[in-house]
Amino acid sequence: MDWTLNLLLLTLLLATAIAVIRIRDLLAAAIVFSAYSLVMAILWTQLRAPDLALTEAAVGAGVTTVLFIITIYRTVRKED
Amino acid sequence: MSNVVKDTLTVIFGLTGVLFFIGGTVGLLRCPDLYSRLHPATKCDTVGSISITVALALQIGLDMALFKILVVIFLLLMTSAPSGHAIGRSAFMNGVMPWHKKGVVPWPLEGGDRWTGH
Amino acid sequence: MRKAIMLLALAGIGVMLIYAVGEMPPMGDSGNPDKTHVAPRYLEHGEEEAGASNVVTAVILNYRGYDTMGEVAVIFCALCAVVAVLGREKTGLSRTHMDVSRVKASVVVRTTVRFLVPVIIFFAIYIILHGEETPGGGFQGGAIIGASIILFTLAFGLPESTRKIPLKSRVPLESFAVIAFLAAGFTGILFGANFLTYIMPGLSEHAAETIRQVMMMVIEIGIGFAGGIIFTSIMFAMIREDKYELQPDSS
Repeated sequence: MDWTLNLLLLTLLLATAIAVIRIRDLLAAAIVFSAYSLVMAILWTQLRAPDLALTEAAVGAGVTTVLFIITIYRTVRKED
Repeated sequence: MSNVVKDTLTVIFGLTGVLFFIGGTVGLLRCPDLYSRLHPATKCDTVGSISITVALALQIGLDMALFKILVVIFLLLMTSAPSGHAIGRSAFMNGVMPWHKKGVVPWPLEGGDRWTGH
Repeated sequence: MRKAIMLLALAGIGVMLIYAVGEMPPMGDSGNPDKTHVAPRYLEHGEEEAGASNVVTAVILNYRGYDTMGEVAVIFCALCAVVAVLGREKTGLSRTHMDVSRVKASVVVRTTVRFLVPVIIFFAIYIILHGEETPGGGFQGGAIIGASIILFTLAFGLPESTRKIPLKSRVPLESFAVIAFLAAGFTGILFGANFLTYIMPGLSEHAAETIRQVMMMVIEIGIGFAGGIIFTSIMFAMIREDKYELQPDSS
């Protein structure tokens, strides 16, 4: 059971990582990146590293997303 | 509560949650615009998740984990519903047009004056 | 010609790297030095040597104390860079686009945030103070504090937020982590031991243990609060918009 869940999460992680690179709309990329961080946080707890999971959830999914969105709002949204 | 009743209730709650999640996902993919997509998406978060957590709580019984699950349910209620509300409201304030079958939305919507303060 | 030399050099480096990879011990093998020497030492002696039953905290604060001090300095430098480029916000006068728009944040969001922010900060303080036994510690708690203040700012606007946490009180707190680390480090030198030594020589066992606990607690609290305040300051500096500033408050 643990094995299938981890495989599913890793697939999702790869999919979100590729999506972040491919998406041209930077706002959408920031949101997908926060989803990537969330999947990564769940994977850290699966790997018995709750300290890292806490950091990943708070910094990756919370703070950096807000900072990215502020930066996009003050610069440009579309990647050329 | 006997075990049979407990297991039956768990299955009922779990299936309700799964049903809401499937419906929410299909709705998220099939609905035409932001407002109609928000509707199934927030149902996933509230009814679906809470049904599944209630099913888990029934299986756990009286334990410290039960208290944690109650906190999880409370936080789900406190976060997902207001975030859906905030997304819908900010989209409306920023002039995201609702979808219409004919492609043209009669604008301003009825009651729009009251909301935007124009 | 240049291309050929370049290719030759790259091929040479490649061959060397492949040779080095072949000489490396197999990845994840249980006979590797890190599995036979480092990990058992941390797991067996971590509690008595480092004074924390959570091994991660023991490694972060004690065995790899220098690394953590560097990380804290890096976060502080990030804040310095942001402030040097963007400047500080002006207390009570900084505005964002959201603040000057006529539409206010909805009552639902405000009420939820007003209820949730104290709960989140309470959780963060628990994570900071309980980091020696359970997962968590200064960095995690600090990030959660920063996230809660960002949440408050998004719902209530920049003027309200800068009034609640004014610049005057943030400036000393921002450098608190670096200062706490340096103070703990130089305490060791004062007692004649090395930099960042937690167990002071020449004291009774009980007194040394108490001093170590107090020092680790001060460092954890310093990292936590300074981290949260640094996140807040970076966000305040980034979110404010110059074109809306210095306009009198309409309300």
